[in-house]
Amino acid sequence: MRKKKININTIMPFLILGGMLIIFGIATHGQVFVKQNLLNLFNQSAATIIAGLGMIFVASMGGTDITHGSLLAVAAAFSAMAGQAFGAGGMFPTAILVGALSGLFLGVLNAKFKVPSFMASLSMLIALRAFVNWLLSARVIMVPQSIKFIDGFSFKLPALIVLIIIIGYIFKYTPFGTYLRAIGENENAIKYAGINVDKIKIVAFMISGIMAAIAGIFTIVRMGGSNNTLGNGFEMKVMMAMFIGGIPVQGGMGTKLYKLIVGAPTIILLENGMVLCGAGGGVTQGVRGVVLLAAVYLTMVIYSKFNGTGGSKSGAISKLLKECT
Amino acid sequence: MAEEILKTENLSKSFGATKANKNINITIHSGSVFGLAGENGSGKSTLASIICGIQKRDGGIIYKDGNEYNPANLIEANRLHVSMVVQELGVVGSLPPAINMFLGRTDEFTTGGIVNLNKMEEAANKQLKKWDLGSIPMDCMTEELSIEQRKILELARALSTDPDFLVLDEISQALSHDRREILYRFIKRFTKEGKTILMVTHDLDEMMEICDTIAVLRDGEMIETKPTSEFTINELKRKMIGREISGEYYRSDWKEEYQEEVILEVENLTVPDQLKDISFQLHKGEILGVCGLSDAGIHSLGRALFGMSERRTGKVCVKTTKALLNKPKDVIKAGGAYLSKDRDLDGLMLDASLGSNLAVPSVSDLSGRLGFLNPREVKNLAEEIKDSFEIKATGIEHIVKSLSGGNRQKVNLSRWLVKDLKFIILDCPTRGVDIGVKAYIYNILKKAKKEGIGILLISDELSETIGMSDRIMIMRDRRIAGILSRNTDFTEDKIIEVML
Repeated sequence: MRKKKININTIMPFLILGGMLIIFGIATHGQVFVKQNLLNLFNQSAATIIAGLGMIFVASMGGTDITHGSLLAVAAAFSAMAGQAFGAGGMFPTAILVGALSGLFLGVLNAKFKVPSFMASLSMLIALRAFVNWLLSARVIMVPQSIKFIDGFSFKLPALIVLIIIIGYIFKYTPFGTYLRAIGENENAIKYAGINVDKIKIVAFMISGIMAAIAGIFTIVRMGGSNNTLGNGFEMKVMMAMFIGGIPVQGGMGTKLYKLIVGAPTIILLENGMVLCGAGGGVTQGVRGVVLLAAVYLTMVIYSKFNGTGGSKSGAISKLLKECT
Repeated sequence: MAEEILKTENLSKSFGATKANKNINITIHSGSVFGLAGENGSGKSTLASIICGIQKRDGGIIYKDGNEYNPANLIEANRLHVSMVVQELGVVGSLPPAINMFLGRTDEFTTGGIVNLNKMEEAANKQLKKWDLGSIPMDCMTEELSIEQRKILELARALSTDPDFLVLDEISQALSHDRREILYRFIKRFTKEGKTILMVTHDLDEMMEICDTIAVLRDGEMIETKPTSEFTINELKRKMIGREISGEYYRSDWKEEYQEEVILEVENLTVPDQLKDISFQLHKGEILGVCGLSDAGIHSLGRALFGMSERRTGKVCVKTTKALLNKPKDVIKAGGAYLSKDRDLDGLMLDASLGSNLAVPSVSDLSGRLGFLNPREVKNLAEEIKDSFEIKATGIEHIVKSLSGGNRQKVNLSRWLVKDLKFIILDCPTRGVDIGVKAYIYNILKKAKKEGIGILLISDELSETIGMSDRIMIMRDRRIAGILSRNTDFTEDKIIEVML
């Protein structure tokens, strides 16, 4: 039996989550571990993880997709309407269609028209929010009582597991997943390997959109209904979950699914623990910012320490230039 | 005997545990060309950059013109009349060429805080003219220049500081035949004025040709220094590697020999401003060399064949199946592969592991039903490639960036050769690779030829195309100027005649 080498890079997300559990466990006198609170944590994490399962496809290519907040609201609104008309069976196809269309549009913008993904998705975020405002204006759309079961633990947990398995399979065990991460490393190299990079990008954005839309279903069912502010800032939460879990900001081979799955409860716990400690909203926000920055910085340092060799090409040039000027 | 211009005593430098230079003692006389030979990682570039103040030495003394010489940086070295052209491109792409030439010294052209670009361009052109380096367009951004033009720009920049000691680190590998001639003419003139050149190069023929003295470095140690006339090229190789090179280097036969069957058929291939009306056939088991002067279009040919060029017209097809190759995807599907000239930019994922790099071309072949990709199979494949091509790394987790240039190229090439290839397009496959790996690559090519793979060998090195090809296709002005046969026509003079 070969001994498996433990890499600090691998266990870092677990260390952060564990550390936070201990700190808040002590600070709240065990309050975080109360059953009701744990269920709370799960419910909030679930939507974040589901959306992250899609966002990670774009992130692994080194791209950014921040449409999630608005897309979630649009998908939620449409699927709630479908739910009213056709019951639970109508919700998922509707959401998937909405998500796929949004992703397709974004993917084509990015891959074919070379609009940087951040700007493309930012525009999309704004436009979709405007669309929701128009669609719902001051109305609140309710989901029928008959589909409340979706919010139940006994439906949500298996659904989450199934989604993780499907996405995990696509992401890790198919050529498609390999190419995604390879694009994050060096897009040119993949082009020169004869792979249709544009197609891969478009599909990645579509998966990202679909998962955001599915997260929308779980969110609106949990809320019982939706108005036009649903999902505000949600994209940031998903991004924080990824990066606090140690997914490299530039994408590439270090993009791993488990980092998201650990990162999501971490960021939710941070918020939850702060509230239980009696901290105000402002303090919570501030701490979140600091922790995120620290996590991203740590990821970078650890990454370069274990992978880097120093003295890179660009390094040599910039050094030379510094001395010249 | 001319006087000593530069002398080092017990010069040493370490990077962590690696001793890049161990007690180096060299003496360089003014008016000479001093060559540094050695494999990748032998410490040549380190030594050169210490002399130019780019890196700090750990111990030892350097004397220049008899005085102790201790430059803190390149600027100070410049002031002491020492200058350098670095191996990597050291220009800022988003600035005009003239500014690059006088980078750090723009004050001379500044009045009232405004840089007079016209004056600067004038000075830049004067500099180029003074040393007869050919002209470079000035009214564009530097990134629009070709790699060669940028290299010449760097040379002019180094010269503009008025050095009497100039270090050229691997300058010629970026240059094609005609610009190398310009370089050699320059070197002659420079040394005639009593000035000195320290030359680092992988091209041993070149080294034997233009250096007066050669010093051989191996693993950071100075192995031998003596006049070039007392070296033979084989002795030089032996000293560099520390052992005999087993087997021959190039092909030993002089016969044009391949199978009748045509693999690749190219008809009237044209790309605006790049290629005009290219038609040829590549046979089974043939090595078809492609050479030409700098703007002849040999590198464009590789890209165009692979389907990377926009607005391509004409026909590229597989003869037997009549399959048209319009996109990279088609080439791969037809059992082809293409290695671009810049392996780091277009080939490898430098920050990823060796295993990931080796696996990329094969993952779609390895995947089964529902696209299932078994990580164990991927790993096994990577291990297999690493072992059978003797890639020197600690394991498949090794990050590619920290491999030597030669090993990187092995990675780039081997991962394609394990596939069931019918043909492969290679653009300068031995660029920046030391002779040990070079010999290895030539052996691989010979083996691939024997297995019936058609090889299109695009190369800037004439000796390489002569040594390996069955036929050589010579390009001039983006067209085919002639095709020579190994049977009779393979002399450097004949090829150059067609090139011009």
